[in-house]
Amino acid sequence: MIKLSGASVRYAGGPWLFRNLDVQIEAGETVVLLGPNGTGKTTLLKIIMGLEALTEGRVECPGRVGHVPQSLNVLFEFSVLDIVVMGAAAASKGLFVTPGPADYQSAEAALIQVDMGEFRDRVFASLSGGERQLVLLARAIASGAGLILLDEPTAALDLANEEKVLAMLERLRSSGITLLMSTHNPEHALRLADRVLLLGRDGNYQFGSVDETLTDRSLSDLYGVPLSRIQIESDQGPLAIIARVQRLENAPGESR
Amino acid sequence: MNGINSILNSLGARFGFFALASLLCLLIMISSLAIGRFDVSLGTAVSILIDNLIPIQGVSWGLAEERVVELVRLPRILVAGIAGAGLGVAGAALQSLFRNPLVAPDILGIAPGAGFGGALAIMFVATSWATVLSSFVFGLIAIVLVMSVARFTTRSSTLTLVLAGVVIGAFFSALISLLTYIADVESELPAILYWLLGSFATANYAKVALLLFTVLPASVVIVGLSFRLNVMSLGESEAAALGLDVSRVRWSVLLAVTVIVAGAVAVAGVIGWVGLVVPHLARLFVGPSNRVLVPASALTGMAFLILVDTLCRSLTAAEIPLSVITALIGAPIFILLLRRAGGLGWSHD
Repeated sequence: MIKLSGASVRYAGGPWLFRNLDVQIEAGETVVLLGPNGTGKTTLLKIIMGLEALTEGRVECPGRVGHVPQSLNVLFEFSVLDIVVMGAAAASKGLFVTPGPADYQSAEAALIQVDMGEFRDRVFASLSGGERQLVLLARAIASGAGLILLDEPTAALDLANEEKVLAMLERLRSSGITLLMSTHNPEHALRLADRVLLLGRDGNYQFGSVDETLTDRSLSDLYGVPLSRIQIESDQGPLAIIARVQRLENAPGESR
Repeated sequence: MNGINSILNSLGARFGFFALASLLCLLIMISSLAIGRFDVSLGTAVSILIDNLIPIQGVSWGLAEERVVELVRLPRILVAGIAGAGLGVAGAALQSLFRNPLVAPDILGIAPGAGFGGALAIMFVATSWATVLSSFVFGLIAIVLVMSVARFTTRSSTLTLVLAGVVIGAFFSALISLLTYIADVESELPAILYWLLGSFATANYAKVALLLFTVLPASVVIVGLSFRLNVMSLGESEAAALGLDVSRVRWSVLLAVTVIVAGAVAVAGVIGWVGLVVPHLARLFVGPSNRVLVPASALTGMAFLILVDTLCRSLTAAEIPLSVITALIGAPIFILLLRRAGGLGWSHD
């Protein structure tokens, strides 16, 4: 689905954002992209969309790519359906294109797929953050893309809205669409990812399955903060969380 | 079936507006025929027009009345209507293209640039097509300059673009002042000054034709681009991510807008405010989708400018320049819209 070979990026003689990235993402797979700010997560997504170029190396990505931005401010009072139709028809060839019945049909189907069918005539800008992200997800689906890139889709959301989006992505995973999602929250990887791609500082990267790649060591190195993956027992059975850890002798209130 | 219904619904909801606006436009046109210093009754004016198609018996009028209606008022109403429609379309296109409710041909420097080009042609060439061409070239130079200045900031925001437009506009206004300074006081200066304030007083059928060959095709291009404009109004990076060829759309729209402005400037001088206020008025009624907003702005602009021109030529004994009235009406309307919309989306960026 996506094949990066020797992919490297640097800006105007600066340090390498990432270097010699050899990554192949298979069709239908969900990959979560993790890394601190400034390691090139957004740049990598833009390269896959064809909006930016690699400094060295090659990227292959056949077919249409849909995308969900972190948030979208729409200046004018477009309806939800207007926004989704833009995804369905924007990539069609020709300057003078107008969306046709087929575009409206796939837009409405996509809205229903993300449980937002009832919102089609509402003004997009009046929706909650989570609802807007679901509409943008529908827009990506309506474009008929086999691959959807999500650039920190929950970063601007409160917990309840974040949950809405994550639950929908969990459902979408099994629909055969390839998902590549960048996020600042490594727990999203535990919940959604088949594989994870870690973009570290100094241009290093790691790519592999969740269990092999998301170790305490690699997580702590990635963010420069001591982190630990912890199994807990809950009402719903065993769960994994990632917690920031502190050595006890340094913890406040513990010193004697 | 669902898809077709959605299209019909969105068109049907706006049908009422288009029917009413067209009717209003026609009413304004016809009543304007009967308004002016020379007294012609409404019935006579309509009879004179109909007489051209079907000879009317039993009603009579003088040669003077016929000449006033057919050779003075009708071409003037047509010129004002087409120019107003074009400026409305141009404003709507620019506001979507730049995702900015505060832009218009005059604010982005296109109109002052075109005005300078026009003044230059009046001084040195003085044919109407040379005026159009020169207006077009300098209008284009102005918008290219504005966009390069706006690019100095990493992200071209609402304010930077407006600011760049004001600066480049001021530059071309200064060049126009320079021209008036060196213009011949007896022959050229009055013509340039009068023309700069905007007026349809010299309208004739040749000018109607000139507008039909510039404003009309360029407006048709913009109507064709209206779905692309919807996508552009999400912002450039978003449009590119959706697969749009952003620079091709941008330059197609800017070329078409500059043709419209050059046509309007060549026949009537620099007319402010229409491109800014008219799209906002139209958006109140039909919403933001350019597929209906662009035609709605054309109708609104047409009615607005015919009305303004009728006021200009009938309010006082001497004609009032167009820009005086457009500003006197446009400024309060804009302030009301600003208040109603809580900033016209100004705060979003």
